[in-house]
Amino acid sequence: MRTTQHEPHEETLGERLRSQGISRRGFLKFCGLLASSMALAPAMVPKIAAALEQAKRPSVIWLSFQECTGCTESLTRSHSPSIEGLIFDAISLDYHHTLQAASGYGAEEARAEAMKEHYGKYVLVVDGSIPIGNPGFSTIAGISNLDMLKEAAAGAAAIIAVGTCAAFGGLPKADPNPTGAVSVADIIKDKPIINVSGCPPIPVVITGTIAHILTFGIPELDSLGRPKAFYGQNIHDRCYRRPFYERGLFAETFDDEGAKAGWCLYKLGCKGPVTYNACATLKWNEGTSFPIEAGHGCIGCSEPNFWDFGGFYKALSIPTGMTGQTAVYAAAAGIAVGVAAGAMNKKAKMDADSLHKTVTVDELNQESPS
Amino acid sequence: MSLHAIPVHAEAAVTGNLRPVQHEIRQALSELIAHGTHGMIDLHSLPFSPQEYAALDDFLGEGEIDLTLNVLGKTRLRESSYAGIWRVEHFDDNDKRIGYFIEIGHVPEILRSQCDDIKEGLATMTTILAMEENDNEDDAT
Repeated sequence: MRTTQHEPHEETLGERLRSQGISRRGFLKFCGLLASSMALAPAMVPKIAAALEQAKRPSVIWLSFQECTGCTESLTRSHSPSIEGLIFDAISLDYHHTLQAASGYGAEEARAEAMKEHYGKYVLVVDGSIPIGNPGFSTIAGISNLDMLKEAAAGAAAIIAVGTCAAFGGLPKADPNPTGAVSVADIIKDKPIINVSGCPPIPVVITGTIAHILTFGIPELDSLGRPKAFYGQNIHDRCYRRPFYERGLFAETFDDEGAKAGWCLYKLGCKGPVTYNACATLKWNEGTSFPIEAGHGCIGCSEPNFWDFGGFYKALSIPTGMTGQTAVYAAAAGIAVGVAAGAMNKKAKMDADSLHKTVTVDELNQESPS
Repeated sequence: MSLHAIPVHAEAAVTGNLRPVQHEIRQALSELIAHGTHGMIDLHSLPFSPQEYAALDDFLGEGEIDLTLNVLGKTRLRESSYAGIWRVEHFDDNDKRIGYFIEIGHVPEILRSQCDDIKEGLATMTTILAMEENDNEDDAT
């Protein structure tokens, strides 16, 4: 006699939300907000709703390496009901050593068990860079970050590198990179890696990326491996101060009349023209504002090597031979001026290193005219 | 201290997005009439200055319907003075606006009863009626 063996019922995301008292109308509202955050056309809302309703709760393993926990703080400080909160509740977070109650061997056993049970299907989230200079620079339960990443990546369906540290090396990689910090993509070459950069990333960008994997698979990525939905446009193009830029109205200091009138912060070092992120539209602190709205220029934290970008308060430099308005437009159009500035500063530092001299900020600034 | 108490008064800015949005609404309204297509415009993700929000509000005007739903925080639905054009504003638990859409249709999507809810309602009603009829039969015997 043949017996039919039924697979245990896997709870869908829709069922999970419903069990938390979220009605289908609430779910539709949630999907509309999610589509908005993902910069998808509103016409996609029914498709997102249908796909999310049936999506299985994914097992998520979250590894934290050389990081400050800012990325986790960003995600967990959101208030309810938020899209990020709802998605975060709907996933099965099987390992996160900052958030989980278990510690020591118990925590590591939970990770091993989740990896075994969901092998090939779990989503691996990594925040923090990986030191390759000396394995002892950063370990968890005596396991080096490098070994733990390789082990966990082997069974992952996809990897999300959360934060600029995991995506590009970030602050630990800042010159002179004492730990030999590298990004996830520098080590793992055989898995899809989605970089969700930012220091920290916007919480809904983290969960929106997870939602995209659940609904439509790996999102379309830019040349730096970031989802185009969130990193497709630069801050400058979406900035509400852009009209002042177009009219040539700039704040020259942080307390002049231009600053008080809310003029463009380009001359105060704003990196908006060369920074790709969704801050200007999604904003921070429950959609309250973003740094430029608070009166400070963008520091470019979602870009590689932003810490060595030539100074937060130094205007993006202009290629020589350009003057006046032409030069300003060229810089804002994203000509690799920041890179050029960084290279010039780097030369100054290398020269100083060889002579064992200290380089001052003024000397660095002289290298690239603002 | 609220954000508005900070003595920084930004000059009126114009993003230039108002007129294209007005034309998009007009186009969506003609699509609704011609093909019955439900349209939706996401205002929240567009750069829009407070002055432009106010100008759009004036342009759309107030209609007959102003509803508030309680779903994951409040949602306010207002028909404009043009029939078929709705403002849909989503708020969080602290009454902070977290989404703003213009919907062009006979009713906003969120107001319609959802098909799965209707099916579940039918199943529940059928069960209740069957149970009541069983009880009545038991009482009769």
